[in-house]
Amino acid sequence: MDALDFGKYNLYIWASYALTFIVLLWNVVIPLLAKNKLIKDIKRRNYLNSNGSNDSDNMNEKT
Amino acid sequence: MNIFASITRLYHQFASPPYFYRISGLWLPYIMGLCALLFAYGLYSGLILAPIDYEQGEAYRIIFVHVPAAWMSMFVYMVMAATGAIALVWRLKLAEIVMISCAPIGASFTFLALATGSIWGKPMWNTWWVWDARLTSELLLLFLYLGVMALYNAIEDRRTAARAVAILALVGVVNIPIIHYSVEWWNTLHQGPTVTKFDKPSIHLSMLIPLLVMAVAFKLFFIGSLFMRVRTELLKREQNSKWVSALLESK
Repeated sequence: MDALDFGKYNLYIWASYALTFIVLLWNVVIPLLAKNKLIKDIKRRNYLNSNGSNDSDNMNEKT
Repeated sequence: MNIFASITRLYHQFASPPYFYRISGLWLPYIMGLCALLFAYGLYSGLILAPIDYEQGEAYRIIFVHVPAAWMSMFVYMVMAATGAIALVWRLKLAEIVMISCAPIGASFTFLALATGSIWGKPMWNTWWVWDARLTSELLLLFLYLGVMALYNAIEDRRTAARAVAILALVGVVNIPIIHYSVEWWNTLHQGPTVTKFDKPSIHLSMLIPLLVMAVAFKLFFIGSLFMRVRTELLKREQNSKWVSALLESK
């Protein structure tokens, strides 16, 4: 791939593009993980509530 | 009068959490899909099609990520401040959530603009960093974003926190024109505006097109990433409401 060989600037250019890729990826992965965790938490809490657990009142107040 | 009424209705409908959650979920795949296509074309035309610069050689290719990131760092801030103003005046929950969801995305773009600028500066200016107006005001922008996030997390009540953050975000708007005009007001190593000026852009079309394509891709990416964060925050705040229970049960 000669077209992607930038000579003495290779390191600078590829470092910039790699950094961009990491930042974009971070902006997708973090919200996805947060959403999955939240849905799991809500489902668990609803499950505990529907089973009349003693903790249910406290867990409602936490939000 | 009828048009005004329907616009108002649309506005209130869009600001209602279940409606926004549903509509943003429908749009999200298209936004991210188009964004991926534009990124692919922008990278191809920027790294392969665009010619070598007569002054900077290959190194100028950093522009295709550096400039869109820098533009977005300011654009996201303006969105954050505008939704902050809406949150202050109309107390809209959705506006508060959009405002606070902007902060980490804006901070990441600001970091990217600073980091890629630094990497570009080393071969061109022979230094990673100078304390000139453009770089310093952009660094200040990063601190503003971090300050917004820290302040929001420091106040227990979400609605009080959102109001405090909105005021901080609005005060910080003063930094945006400073960043933009810094290269004209002060002597600096940083090059002047290339695209955003009233005169013809001083950049050849073969380099301008990939730059603009990348800029649109970044903007779409911001909208997509913002939607993802806003949707999660909506679920979190409304987790005791009927629509969230119904949504989770149907899954």
